[in-house]
Amino acid sequence: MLCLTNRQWVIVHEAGKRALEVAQAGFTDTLSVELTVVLLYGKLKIGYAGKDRSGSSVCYFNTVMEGLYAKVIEQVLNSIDGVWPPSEERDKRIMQDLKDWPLKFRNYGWFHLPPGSKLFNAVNWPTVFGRFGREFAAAGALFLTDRHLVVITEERSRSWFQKKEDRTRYGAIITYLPLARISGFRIQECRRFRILELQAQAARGVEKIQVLFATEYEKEITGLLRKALQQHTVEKQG
Amino acid sequence: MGLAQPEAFAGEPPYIGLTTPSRKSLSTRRKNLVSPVDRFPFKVPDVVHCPDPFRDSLRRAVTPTDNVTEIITVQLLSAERLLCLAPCCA
Repeated sequence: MLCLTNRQWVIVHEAGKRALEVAQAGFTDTLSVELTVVLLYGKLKIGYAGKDRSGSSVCYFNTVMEGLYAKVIEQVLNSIDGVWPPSEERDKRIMQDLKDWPLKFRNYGWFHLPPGSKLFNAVNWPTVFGRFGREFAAAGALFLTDRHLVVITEERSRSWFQKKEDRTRYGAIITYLPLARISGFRIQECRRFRILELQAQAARGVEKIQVLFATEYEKEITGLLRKALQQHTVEKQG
Repeated sequence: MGLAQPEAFAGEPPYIGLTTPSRKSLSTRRKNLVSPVDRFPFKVPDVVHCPDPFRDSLRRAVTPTDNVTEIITVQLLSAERLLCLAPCCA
């Protein structure tokens, strides 16, 4: 069961025969929300840092009912920021400003950016391939809105060798990080790609999220993240 | 009457219900994590109407001051720990 209240979320699930496990955290302790959608496969993961334990809880679901979970995500994000009543309106700039983007990522942006948030900046990068078609970093996009940093990446292939016809991807992993939780970032250099390490912090814990991207986009991504941190600092002071 | 079978899948047993056309490069096939097509998640109006094994646990987790806004039943669930979490120095 996944339950939302006005101050916390609760997940109760079976852990072996006749045993139940309960994971719960207040919105003040919630760090990130991750949604994975691959055809009929859906996964919702909520990262948290509590007094007694830190970690993440996961629900698996059939994407036919994705709408239920999209609402839950909106509600969790609005509760973290204390936004009430939430706005239902989507930012039309996503479709206008990103018209040169691959259709897939433009549509993901439109469908998955939380309603009521305004798009400030976005960066899109292609898949990074090595020799014999080995995939180093999946194609992805980083969206900065007035309230969140949203990372959307394709499902990464784990195979060492890939034929061209196997390169089609059907799903995406969408990670929502409220700006109020981002405390820093750093970029690690690898030979063929870069690793962005984002740090999300609540009062009682820290979570690190890694995103792999193409080397050529380092400058753009660094600029976007500096803007995100500046924006958060201004909001805090204001 | 049998289901129409695309040429590419000729010889395979026919699909019943919702299907995924490409069954390659999906890690979901390794584990039985996708809920069956005939058992979708559904909304429950309040804690009292929750299915049996979960009701009591949920009652204990939710305090009387909590205003329940959403309850969804999910068929398959698991919890995992983040490897990179570090305690915050207060």
